[in-house]
Amino acid sequence: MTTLCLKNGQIFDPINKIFNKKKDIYIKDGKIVEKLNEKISETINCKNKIIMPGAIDLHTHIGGGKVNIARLMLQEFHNNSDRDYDLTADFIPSTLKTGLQYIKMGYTSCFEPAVLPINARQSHSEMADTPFIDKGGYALLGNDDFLLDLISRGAHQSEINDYVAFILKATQCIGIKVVNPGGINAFKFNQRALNVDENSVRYKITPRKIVRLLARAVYELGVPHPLHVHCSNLGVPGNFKSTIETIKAAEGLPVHITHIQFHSYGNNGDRNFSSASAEITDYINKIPNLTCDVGQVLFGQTATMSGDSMKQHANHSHAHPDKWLCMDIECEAGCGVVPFKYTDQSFVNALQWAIGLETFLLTEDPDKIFLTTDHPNGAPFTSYPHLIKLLMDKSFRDNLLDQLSVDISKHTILKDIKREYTLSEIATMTRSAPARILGLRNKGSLSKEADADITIYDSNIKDVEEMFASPTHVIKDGVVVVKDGEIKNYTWGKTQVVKPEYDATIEKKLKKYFDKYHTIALPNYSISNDEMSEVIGSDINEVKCNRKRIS
Amino acid sequence: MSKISDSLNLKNIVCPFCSLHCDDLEIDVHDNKLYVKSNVPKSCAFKYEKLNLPKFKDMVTTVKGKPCEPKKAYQYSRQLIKKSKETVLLNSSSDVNVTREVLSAASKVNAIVDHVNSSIFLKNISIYQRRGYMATSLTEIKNKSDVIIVFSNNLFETYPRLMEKFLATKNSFSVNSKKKEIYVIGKKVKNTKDCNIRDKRITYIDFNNRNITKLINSFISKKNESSISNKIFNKLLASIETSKYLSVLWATSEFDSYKECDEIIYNISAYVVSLNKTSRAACLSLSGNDGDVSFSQTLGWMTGFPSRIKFTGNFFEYDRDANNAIQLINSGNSDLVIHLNPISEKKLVLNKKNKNIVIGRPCTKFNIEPDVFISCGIPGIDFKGHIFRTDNVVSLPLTSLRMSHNRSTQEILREILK
Amino acid sequence: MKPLVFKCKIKDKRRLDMSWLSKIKTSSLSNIKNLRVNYGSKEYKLSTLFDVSGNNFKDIIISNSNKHLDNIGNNLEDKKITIFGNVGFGLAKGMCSGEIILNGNAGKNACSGMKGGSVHILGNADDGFCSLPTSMNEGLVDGFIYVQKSVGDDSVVRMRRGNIIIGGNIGSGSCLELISGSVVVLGKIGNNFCHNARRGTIFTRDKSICREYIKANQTDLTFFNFYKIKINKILNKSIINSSKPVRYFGTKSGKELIELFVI
Repeated sequence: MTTLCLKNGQIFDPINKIFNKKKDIYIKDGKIVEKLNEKISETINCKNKIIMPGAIDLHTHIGGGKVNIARLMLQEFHNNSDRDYDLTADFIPSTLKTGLQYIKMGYTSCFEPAVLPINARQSHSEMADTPFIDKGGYALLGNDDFLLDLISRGAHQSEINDYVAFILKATQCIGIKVVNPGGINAFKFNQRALNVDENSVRYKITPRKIVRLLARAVYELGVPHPLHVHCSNLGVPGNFKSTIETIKAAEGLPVHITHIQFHSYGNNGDRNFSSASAEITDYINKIPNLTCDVGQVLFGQTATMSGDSMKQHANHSHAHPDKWLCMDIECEAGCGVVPFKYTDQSFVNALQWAIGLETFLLTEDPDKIFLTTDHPNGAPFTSYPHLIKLLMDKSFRDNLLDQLSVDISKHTILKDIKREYTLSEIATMTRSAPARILGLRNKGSLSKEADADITIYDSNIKDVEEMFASPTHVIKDGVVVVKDGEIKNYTWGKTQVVKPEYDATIEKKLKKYFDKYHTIALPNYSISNDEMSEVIGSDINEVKCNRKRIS
Repeated sequence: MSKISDSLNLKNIVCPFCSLHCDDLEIDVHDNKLYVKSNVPKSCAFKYEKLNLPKFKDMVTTVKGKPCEPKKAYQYSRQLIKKSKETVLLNSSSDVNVTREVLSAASKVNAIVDHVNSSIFLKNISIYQRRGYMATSLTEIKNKSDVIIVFSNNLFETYPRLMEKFLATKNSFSVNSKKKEIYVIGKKVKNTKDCNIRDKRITYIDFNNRNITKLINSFISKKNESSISNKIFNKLLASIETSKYLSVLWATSEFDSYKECDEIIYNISAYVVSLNKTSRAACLSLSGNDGDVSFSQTLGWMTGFPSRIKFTGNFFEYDRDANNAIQLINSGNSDLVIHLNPISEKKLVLNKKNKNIVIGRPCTKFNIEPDVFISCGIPGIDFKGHIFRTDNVVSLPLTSLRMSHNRSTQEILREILK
Repeated sequence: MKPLVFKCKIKDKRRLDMSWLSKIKTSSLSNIKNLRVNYGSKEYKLSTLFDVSGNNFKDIIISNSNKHLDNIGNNLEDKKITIFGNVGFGLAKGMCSGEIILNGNAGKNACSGMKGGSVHILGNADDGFCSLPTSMNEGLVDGFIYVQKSVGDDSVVRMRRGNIIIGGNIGSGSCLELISGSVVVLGKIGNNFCHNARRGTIFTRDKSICREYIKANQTDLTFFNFYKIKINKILNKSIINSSKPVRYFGTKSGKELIELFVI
């Protein structure tokens, strides 16, 4: 039995509305407890230290086929000089390096946003090989022929709910993501764009309908995480209109719009490219059920990877270095990997950088917006501390804006925004808010019974970037894993899943479809709990669902 | 795992033996013996039924050709590893979990890790390492593709069920499967008893696949410069031009002996990419009969490189020349090779110049006697596991079907590296 | 200052990765002697593998070298390396600047992905000379390479810039997808030369390859004269001595814009 006491630290616990208060924390058997009656095996003196729950990254591509394609494709960036971890590049780290870098930054839970149901085994295997962190995935739906066929034949909502629940169970995921609703499928039938209210050629369904049905399914099944939406028209100037239309498509049901920076572009100005962050944040501030993560762009080489093969194929000419891969996958979705270099000499890239920051700063409620770079699409996750500094320090931000090689001052209102994020707000947006939206009651919190995932920062370090980059202690499930930047213990996190109930008749229908059209059998499509622990190598933790019904 | 006396009927079993990993097998287990019930080519069923002989179930360990206690074999292997100055772990067929263990084993003894098929799959990977690539997967081909071109000389021998199960199928979701057009380009196909090669939809074109580049150039210029007759060439070209979703398949392993191999695969993929400006087309390179896809993917996520890794102290290095195991063995650069072939023994070649430890399926045949042989269970027959299909995205679960006295490769590796 | 000399003592056949050589920073001789080097599956002190002497860390000599030493001059910056004996794979791989002189033969994939500097090989170079390094798109970005004897098959792939002078023959399938730069071949040229090339200049004595090229304006020899003087001056000997070359420009199939001088 291990017991641990954190003495005299300054606590930031947004869920319990505790900000910067001195309090002792007791840990027993991986959980936080109010009091310890037995002997304390270790005490950490936290004087002048900031204590926060372990951070949660709810959108980071850390496992799955496309990440692996990028790892193999971009071997020249795996350098020989950095021997702290292994050779892999920061933006496409190996599973081991992913775990090490996340835990050293104080992140204890990460979620892979694009788990293709057919590729779920690989995604989970990769995540199982990632040490320390808890993980989970969102299953990709909305472009699979089975669902689109179901919708086009006018299926009842309950049938769609059953299918969504089946997919969640079969793929061991925690949420549902829809990428370019209907668009990836339309690309397979040679459509090159699909607007929110445009019918796809083959199924005659609009993206609006897909979003509405899926958002309702996720809501009615009681899955805690709302539908995770990657909107139509990724990266197209003027796409903020489709983003707003997609938000409207949910008809007030909770949705989560992901990497919203890539979907907040106007087409004004002499370059036909402008910021529409004001319009977008206006919406975010207004609508209660809406959350989003930003997908901030930072300058440097990276690789963009997305399920959105339609838009990735359209953008392949921008690849740097000049190579790319797009793939159609198993009548379910697709993937596209295009290496890309964001430079501050490019007007578009510089403005993307500013749009992301504007979105952060104009969104009033830190409970509604999450800190992501859509790793690695905008920048590698290792740049989070830098991003936090950009948000917390106006002069730093303005300085960088002035130093950009291309002048975008006339195109952005960044300089006029006076807001600086406080530590409390950062704690909210990286800890409690993601935990709440994912339904993880035991995470992102320091209340009793919560999981003892804790990060301790040194408040003597004046530079915020440095402070967030190097926590003095990181505790995972009650075990001190990082101390002064050194790994002390290896632990393996769990996979977070949801398993809503459903009517099993959908399996009969699916079996018919699989036997006739698919190339594998339905039983081999699903991953059982036993397989997760015995073969794939990660234990699961089930998050509860509360079934709801829209009258 | 079933009890010996049990009689079971198992459905939807994944076959681990070729890279298509068909999962529609129905297998009866009587008295711990396997009988394939579903209607599959005899060569496929034989792979299972061969294993019913008792010698495939008993654990065999030999040292220098003489049977001995497992303990002694482990002991001797440990000695060899301890003495070795340059160890190579050479994989010649395995699933994901074996590969994971191989990596952790290699990190313990600072070994070189390689796969016998590295040179082939490195070529496949190099397509998208150097230029654009449009890929597709088998279900997509089955349901969306109206025109399929396969470049292959011995399609029905290497992939007995490819045509029947994935290409010339009865049902397709989005296209009229009766109107599918399939072209098989390569050496004249011999009639085999095993599979039905007659189908109205299939056109066989007799062609020397060394000249594929010429054929592709003819497609681009629309002038026939190949050895194919004008009539068939025009039909082929018309099919390509009117196709809604063209799929092009080839097996790099067949071209590997050609000097033009790189050129051929680059040209096919570049042509397919160019077709995507106006229409849809995609490629699929068939590979992975010896678990290479599982191997390269697993190494990919654990190290960032597909193969040819050398562990040194706390980290590892990748070098496509210096860590080329086959070359190292042939030139006598290494002194100990640990061969791993739990699934098949096809690619196993031992060399006298170095000591050999073989961890392989029972009844493995050798060209020369290895210093140590330890038989192991077969993933998918004796042990659970998980393996990738040829199209790189689909991974399927392997189940254990029967009782066996063999231990798993992972256990044995852990044991000899204690 | 005396050059830093590494005298190889290794006798067995294991391969040794020499990329640590490019990373030696100015430090004391004893530090270098105590450097830990991975050799096979074990780690060794450098002094057990090499006799080390000297103090000029920018000028390195490797003596008694053999064909099992790989990656000499890998990513080299600003150093001079002189080698006596043969070397293994990947000589001067990804080299950025500096100089390498090899008194012997080079193994496979020498000079692949070189970005600058100069390499002088007094012997032969094996297959894959100046070939594409892993996952990169150009075989030679820039640099000056002089091989006194022959080079193997599949050499010089996607050359972007730079100069290559080959005293002997070049193997088949060479100069694939040449983008630009100059290649001088004094010996025979193998099959399938300059396949899919875009631009670039070739100087050769092998008349057999001219058939596919178009004879061009014979008086336009400004570049030839300029190049001849430049090369002869750099190497300090008369490599190109013809004064009336036959000039060809472009191929008969019309796609490639290669300039060819038969000297």
